[in-house]
Amino acid sequence: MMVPVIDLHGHIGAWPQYGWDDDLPGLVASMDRAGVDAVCLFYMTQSDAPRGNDVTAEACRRSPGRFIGFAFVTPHYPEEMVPELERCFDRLDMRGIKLYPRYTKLPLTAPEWQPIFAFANERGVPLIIHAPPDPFLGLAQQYPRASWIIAHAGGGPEGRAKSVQVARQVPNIFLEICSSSRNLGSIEQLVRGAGADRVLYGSDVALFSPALQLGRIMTADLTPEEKRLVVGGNALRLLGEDVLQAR
Amino acid sequence: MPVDVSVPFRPAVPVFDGHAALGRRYDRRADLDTPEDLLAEMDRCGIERALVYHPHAAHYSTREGNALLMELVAGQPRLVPQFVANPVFDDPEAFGEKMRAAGVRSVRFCPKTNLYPFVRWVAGRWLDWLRENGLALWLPADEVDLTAAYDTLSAYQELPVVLVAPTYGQVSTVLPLMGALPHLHLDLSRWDVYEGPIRARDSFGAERLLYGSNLPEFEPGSYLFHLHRCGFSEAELRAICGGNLERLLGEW
Repeated sequence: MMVPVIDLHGHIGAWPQYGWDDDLPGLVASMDRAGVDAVCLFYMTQSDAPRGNDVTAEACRRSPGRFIGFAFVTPHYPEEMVPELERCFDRLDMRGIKLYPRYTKLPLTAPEWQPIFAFANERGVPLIIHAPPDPFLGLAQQYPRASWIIAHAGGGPEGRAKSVQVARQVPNIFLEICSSSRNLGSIEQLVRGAGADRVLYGSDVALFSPALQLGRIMTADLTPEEKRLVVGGNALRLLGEDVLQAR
Repeated sequence: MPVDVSVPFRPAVPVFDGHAALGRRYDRRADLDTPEDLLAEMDRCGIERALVYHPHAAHYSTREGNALLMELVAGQPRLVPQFVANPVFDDPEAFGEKMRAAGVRSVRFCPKTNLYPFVRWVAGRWLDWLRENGLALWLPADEVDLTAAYDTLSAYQELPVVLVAPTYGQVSTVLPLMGALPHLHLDLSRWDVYEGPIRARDSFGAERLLYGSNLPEFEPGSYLFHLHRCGFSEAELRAICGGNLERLLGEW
């Protein structure tokens, strides 16, 4: 059963000290070797968010159908946030939002983030956020039309257990898998705990390789239907069936 | 390469895992700690053999831990024992006799855990002995200061050394270190670096790369899947998945 594979966690930009490259043709080649159809792409290491979003949009334009743009905005420049999100969704055809509270020193519960959450809720779009799992439950209840994706599913075993716990309580929390903690049974823990319809393949490319994190799913003790949902079926449901079409 | 979720992944070449632990830990219960459990997980992922050391030998007593390991691998030819040595307190000649008797062909050092610096005035006698006997050394990347590793190992260019489980956070040191020490081999078990196996192959050659699982801490299948999607030739894949390890263990 050949299925679409959509990577929910991809970076553009460069961070050489971690071996992170910004070679776009190389990234497409890497996706092809792995069997990844499309990557959700964001430029979260660019402090000038509009500039980074332009780079993301250009990558999507240069490789039609292979990248799905996600907007990045920073609460250090609150006056930019909502106008930039409007630009990303209305003019650059982006489909989600990436946030990284740890880099801002602002916890996810800080009021500075609220305009972003309200925007996501109003538009009914997904947010993928690298943060500890605890605050997600309250936010998912407060903003029920947004889809809340816990990046890295909380990280190691304890974070994964906590992520499962919050995901079970509301229908709009999803768990994205990529992690350097490739513990035994980690994917099975997420799928058995939260349900196969809540777990999303992500790789952290170009920090990690798309094939490595995909391999965690492909070699896990899951049924073919569970694998289908995790590698791409759930992402299509969240992002829209048209995301794989060249736009 | 398309993804078929209805076909379970199996390695296309024989796999000999170069980095796994076997036995109970003192600090917590390991996910797998018996030969039977370890072999079952190896079977599930298509791993034929594994080079194993005992956590007790790394954390506490080399003498007791290595003996425990030999009890566990008795009658299990798929589990190939590796001894941990402490160069401060283990005499290489006497230790070597035990290795010969047990059929052990490689040694692991754990400098940080065993509280000694990895420098010639501590480890030199042992490194001389390993080199003279054509034995390979496994050196975990989180057990050694990599600057000290360069300073010490650069004097032992004929000694094969496996740098065990370096992480993506060490890439800016490990890549130059691999370039500076041609006898250094890279265990891939935690080498999550973006396209890390391909870039290492291109820079250093497939003959210096070893598949390792990091069992029982990590699941072993994902990296094998990754290696099968790197575009390697069959010869390169065979070398990385086990051939290089066979060569390093050699005959003694």
